[in-house]
Order: sequence, then C-alpha cells, then structure tokens
Amino acid sequence: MENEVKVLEVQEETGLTTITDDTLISLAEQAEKRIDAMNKIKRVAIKLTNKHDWTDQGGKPYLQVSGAEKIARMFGISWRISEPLKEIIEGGHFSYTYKGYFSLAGATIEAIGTRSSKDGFFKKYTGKGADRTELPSSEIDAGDVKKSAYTNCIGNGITRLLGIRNLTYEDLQEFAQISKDNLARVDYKKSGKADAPITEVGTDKVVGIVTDVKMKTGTNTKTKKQWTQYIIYACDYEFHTFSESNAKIAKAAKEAAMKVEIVYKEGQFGKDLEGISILEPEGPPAEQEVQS
Amino acid sequence: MIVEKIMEAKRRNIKQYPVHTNRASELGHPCTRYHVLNRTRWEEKTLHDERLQLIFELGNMIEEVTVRDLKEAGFAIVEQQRPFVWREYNITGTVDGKILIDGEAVPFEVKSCSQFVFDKINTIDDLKNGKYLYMRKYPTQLNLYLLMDNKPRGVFLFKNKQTGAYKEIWMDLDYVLGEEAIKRAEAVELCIKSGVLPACPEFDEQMCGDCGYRHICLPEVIGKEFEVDESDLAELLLEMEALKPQASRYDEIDDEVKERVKGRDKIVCGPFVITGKWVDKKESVMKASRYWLKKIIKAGGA
Repeated sequence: MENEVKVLEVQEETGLTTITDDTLISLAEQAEKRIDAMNKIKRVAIKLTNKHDWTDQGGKPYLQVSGAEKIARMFGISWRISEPLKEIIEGGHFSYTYKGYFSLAGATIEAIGTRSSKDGFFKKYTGKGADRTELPSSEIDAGDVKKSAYTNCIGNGITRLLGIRNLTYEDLQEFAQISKDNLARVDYKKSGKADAPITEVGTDKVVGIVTDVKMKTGTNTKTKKQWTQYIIYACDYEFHTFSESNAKIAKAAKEAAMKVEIVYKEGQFGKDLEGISILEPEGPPAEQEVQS
Repeated sequence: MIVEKIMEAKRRNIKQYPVHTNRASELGHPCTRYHVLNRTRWEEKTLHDERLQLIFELGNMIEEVTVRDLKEAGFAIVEQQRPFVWREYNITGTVDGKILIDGEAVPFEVKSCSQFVFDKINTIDDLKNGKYLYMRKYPTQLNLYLLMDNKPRGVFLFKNKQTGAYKEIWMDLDYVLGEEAIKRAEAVELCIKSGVLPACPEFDEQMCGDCGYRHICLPEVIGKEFEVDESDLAELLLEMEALKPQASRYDEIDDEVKERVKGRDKIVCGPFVITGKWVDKKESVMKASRYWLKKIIKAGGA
C-alpha cells in the first residue's frame, strides 16, 4: 500500500492525472475491440485479393505491391514518403533508399525501401552467346532502381503495418481460397515488369546457389541446325537448358550471390531445367520499424 | 520459350523520348505537376511494361487496319499523321488523318478498346466522364486538333479488339474544353520558365495510382479508415444471414405459385382460395436518383 501512495504522490507533483482501474479496464476493452475489428478487417482484406496479387517465392506466398495497395485502400491506410537518399557504392554502383510513414487507427510505423544497382535484377548486358558481356554500372537505369526502392518501401510499410508479412498458404486458403497451385512464380529478374508464370507440372524443385553457368554449342546432325545449350551448376547438380533467358537469370543470380529456385524434370540426358527464379532476400538490409 | 523471346523483344522496344512540348494527347491529364515533370524530368518516368507495349503496338496495328477498311469502304483519307504545332502554347500533336465526307475533311482518331469499354461508350460525354483517365484524355486530344485546324467537328473511330466491330463517336468543337487545355498548357509553360514545380495534388487512385512519376512526386496518401459500429447492426446482419435460406426458398415457392396460378381466375386448393386477374402496368420512365450501394462481406469469426 505504501508503494501505491508514493506513486500517486509523484504523479500529482508532475501534474499528470491518475489512471484509475476503471479507465484501464475501459482502455483494455477498447483496445480489445479494436484488435478484434482489425482482425476481421484483415480477413476481409485478404479475401479481397486474388491469385494475381500473390506470387510464390521460395515456397511462401508473397503479396505483390499491387495487392498491398489494394488492401491498403480497403483498410484506409495513409502514408507519406520522404525524398529518397542516393548512396554511391563501389564500382560506380548506387542505391536508393526511401523512408515512409504508414498510419492506421492512430498508429504510425516507419518503413524503408532500398534497392541497389548491384542487384542482378538491374544489370544490363550486350551481345549474345559467348560474346555476351555485362555493361558497366553507368548503363543501369537509375530510374528503375529508384522506382523499385519506392515500391519496395510501400510494400514493406503496408504489410508491416498490417502484420501480413508472413502469411502462410493455410491463411490464403482459409481467407481467400487461394492455393499454392493458383499462384504464378515470378522470375525475380523480371518482377515488377511481368508476372510470367512458370509451369510446374510433373517437376521437382531445388533451392540453392548457382556456382557456375556454362555454354555448349553444336550442330544437329539430322537438321543441320545449330544449337546452344546452357549448363547451370547448382545444389551439386547440373541442369540443362536451351533457354538463354534462363541462363541469364542463373548468371545474374550467381553474380549477385542470390539463392535461386530451380524447377526441373528428369530427362533422357539428365536434369532438364524447366524454370528458374531468383529468390528475393527476406527483407531489405536497412529495413526497420518504429512504433509511435 | 517462344513467348519469352517475343516478350524480350518487346521489352527492347520500350523507350522514353524527350518531351519538349505539351502534347495534345496528354493535355487532358488534369495534373499540372504531372505535365511539368513530364517536361522537366521525362527521363525519370517509369517506363511501361512489355504487356502494355503489346497493347500499344496492337493499337498501331489496329489504326492501320482501320485506315485500310475506310479506304476499302470508298472513303478518301488525307493528311494522315499530319503534325500540328500551336507555338503560342507550345502544343504539338499528330492527327491520325482526315476522312473526306461530302467534301468536308473531318479529322479522325482511331482508338481500340475492350468489349467492356466498347459497350459503355456511345457519346462524347461518355468519354469525357469515362471511368479511365486514358479515355478522358481522348476528347481533349481531338478537340485540340479541331482548334489547331479550325475544324467544326471530328470523329473517333473505336474498334472493338474482341469482335473487330466499329463504333463512331462524333465530337463538335468544344471551346470550354479547349480553354481548359490551353490554360493548362499556359500554366505548364509558366512553371517551366519560372522553375516552379506545382504542388502535389491530393492523391487520386485513378490519376496517381499508375503515374510514372509517382516515385518523384511522392503524393501523400490519405486513407479513409473504417468506422467501428458498436450498435446492434451486427445482430441484424447475422439475423438477416440466418433468414437468407428461408427467404430464398420463399422466393422459389412464390415464383412457382405465380407460374401455376397464372391465367386461372378462381382456384380452391386445400384450405386456400385463390383468385386472380391481369393487371396492365403503365409505361413509366424512372426519375434520376441516387442510392447507396452497399457490399457486405463477412469476415468470419464472431
């Protein structure tokens, strides 16, 4: 009891009003109701998304920025984004960082979106086949990097504010009747530009780092036509493909030391690569969240 | 593999060119800040993707097909792709062509559209009040050609991309719309000369959502939050939901009864006596009004 009296005295000295038990209960009830309401709204919001708003990345559902904005509209999330910060890094590379403030129901969080020209996603090449070489960083479209950092910031802010960053396929199935099979897997190199689905029928899948990409050429003895085959080394396997774009993705992943997901079929001559996608990192390096 | 290669090729076709003038096709865009950015920071604009590129290229092909169809129908087409310049306001544009009708050279614009849009548009007002921003820009574009060419009217030829059908929408020279576009061009020129970037407008999903300068403009988004209703509304909705199967069954039976007694004056069945007659309804036109369109989605849980 003595302790309680002392606390009250201190509060009176500072001019603060004492919080009574009734007020606390009322506050708790209000908070509970608000949380309950928010959970309901969240379920509805996810219900409003469709399979095009999600992609499968590394076996997890990933809400695309277009989907995040759709949900944000439903929730009535407000945000403002500050001018970006451009940083010059080694090799003439650069990065853009946007900081945004996202608000809902009186709470505001700060989220950051960062993208670097070093990402394989932005690299540019010239030539074809064996003559194919990477262009210097000065040829990278700064606008692409900047825009990507901006959308990254919006996506981070909305999904963090709503706590929907780590949804499972069970959640999607329950709230929106969307299953993993419904989702397109986005080739990370092209994400933000195209949602090209990669077929996955009767295939196996591995996730790992590309250690090498080699090219082999030859002539078909029957048709006399020239062919170019690419061999992608990853996860202690060799994957064969005739697709130059798949080889490009593998090379970009190797250079950026990023994980890839490879979908393949056991073919007559080994593992035939059916699709490859670079897995997006778990989150941007400088990502942070501040509750206020 | 084939499609991938095509898409790669299309990606290479996507380019952004310098913008030195106020383009007639853009002046219907209501945001002055957009126009100023388009002139001063055009190289930072987010480029469209290859899917949109495919649509643009299809639009160009459709224009060629339409001109061919017009010629095949016996129309003379003149001044195809004629460029216009209005130096006073730094406005430029290129009209698709002019079609000779009864000795009059009528400026025309060919536009391709989806089945949905095709069905919705019938008058110039449908374009002015169109759902999509790109559609609302069309009248300003053609109207500027009419003003620059001193023509009293022009025509849009819409081609349905799904069925190939055509629809013509005529437009009379609209001075109010012209004045609006000229004022916008003047404002843009003034901003550029004085080095001023107009203030960011209030975020509008239609206008700002897909804007190529969004990452530079940085519009503040003010969301409309949910209102938590603690009255007995939820109970009413739950009751309504519980009654729904019965209401549906009631409607089913009612429809069947109506069908079975139709045209029969007097019927006795079990404890019921049923009489009936034909009633003629007078034709009436519904008065314009507004109503609140509600959509109820159950979140699940209690």
